[in-house]
Amino acid sequence: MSDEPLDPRVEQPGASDDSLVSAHEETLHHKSGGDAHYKMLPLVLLFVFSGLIFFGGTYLNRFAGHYHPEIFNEYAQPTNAAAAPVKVDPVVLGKKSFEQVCITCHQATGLGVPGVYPPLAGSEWVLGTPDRVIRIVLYGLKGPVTVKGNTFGAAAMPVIGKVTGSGYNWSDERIAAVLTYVRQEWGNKASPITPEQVAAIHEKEGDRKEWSAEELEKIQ
Amino acid sequence: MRNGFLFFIGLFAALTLSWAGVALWPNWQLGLLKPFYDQNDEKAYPQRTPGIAAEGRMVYDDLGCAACHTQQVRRPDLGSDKARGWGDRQSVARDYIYDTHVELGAIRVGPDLANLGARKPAYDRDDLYKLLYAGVGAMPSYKFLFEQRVISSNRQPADDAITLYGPLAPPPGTEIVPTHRARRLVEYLLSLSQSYEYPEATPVEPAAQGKEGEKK
Repeated sequence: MSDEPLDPRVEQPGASDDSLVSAHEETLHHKSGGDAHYKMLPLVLLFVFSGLIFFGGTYLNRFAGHYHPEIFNEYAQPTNAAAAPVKVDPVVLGKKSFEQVCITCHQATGLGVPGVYPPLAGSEWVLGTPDRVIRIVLYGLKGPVTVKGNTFGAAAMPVIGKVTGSGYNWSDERIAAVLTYVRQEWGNKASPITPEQVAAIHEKEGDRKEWSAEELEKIQ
Repeated sequence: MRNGFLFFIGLFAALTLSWAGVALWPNWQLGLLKPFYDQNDEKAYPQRTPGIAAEGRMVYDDLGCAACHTQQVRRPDLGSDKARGWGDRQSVARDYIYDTHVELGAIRVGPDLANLGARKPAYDRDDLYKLLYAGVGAMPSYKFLFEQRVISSNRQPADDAITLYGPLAPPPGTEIVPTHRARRLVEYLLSLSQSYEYPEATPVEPAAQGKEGEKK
């Protein structure tokens, strides 16, 4: 039909049956380089990596500081110190409060100014019943008062507590702290005053004007 | 590539989880830190940087002080920071909660500055002006933070003019006065203080360390 010569590849197969079989056999048993087939992972590596993971886990567990944001030393243990409210030292708070306000009149020595401001050191009002001294600090004191045999009347004790007309609005805790400080400083040795004592008197008296010495002397 | 998608997922998971553990989670954890309220002082620590010092921080950035000065003190049993008087306790994360960016620094060519304002003996402004003006050791001199002014009869002499002697002394009739940048920078340096004892900053007792170490 056609005069064109046929492509010789059509007539001549590229491979004979024999050559195909031999090529397949060769491929089936082929070992290129001799070691390309899969081998089992050496068992020793399994133990090595398990050991490394175990070591890493133990190390982190011991030295990672519990992954706690407030631990900066690998030996430290987490505490609830930050969560628990810091205990207020009444003497520290009292001293600071005294130095902010009371010191102006009663002086750092606690001796006051003769004739003007009464002393706190050795004062029978300070060392006597807490019921009077708490009332003085909470509500103030007006009028003449006799301390250690001398009469003071020139200046009034201002209102310190959190009551109407107060210029300071100190909390009951702070008043208890400053009274505790005053009652135990300069050789004074009287019992500390708790915030509860102050709160009880604060609640009992409510809002009222300054005390006078006569009113206070009726309180035992 | 066969299993290309699986490979990608594995790679992505490995990198994402590492990033979450190393960066995201600590960032969240430290972001929850609150100021510490001290009932005895009736103040919350750390205290905020005063405005003029906050401006000085920009000068600190601008001059590249952080290239040579760190602001992080190591704990007393780790290195010589305490012996050098740089701080009695280590810096903790809470010290930095108000900082928009933290000037931690990496290289200590000069001394650590984290606690500069609370050093003993205390630096005063004139000391720091002189250090900035003259430079010391590896620290260059920052003369451009100062101006030389003629002392004239119709102007009061500046009260913060620095007193200089020897070759650095200005010619007679003139004075060396810090510019606004120098004033702000020095206010910032003096405001740096990490002296408040947070509960977490308290050094762990060496006894506790030894005990723990023995158990090992």
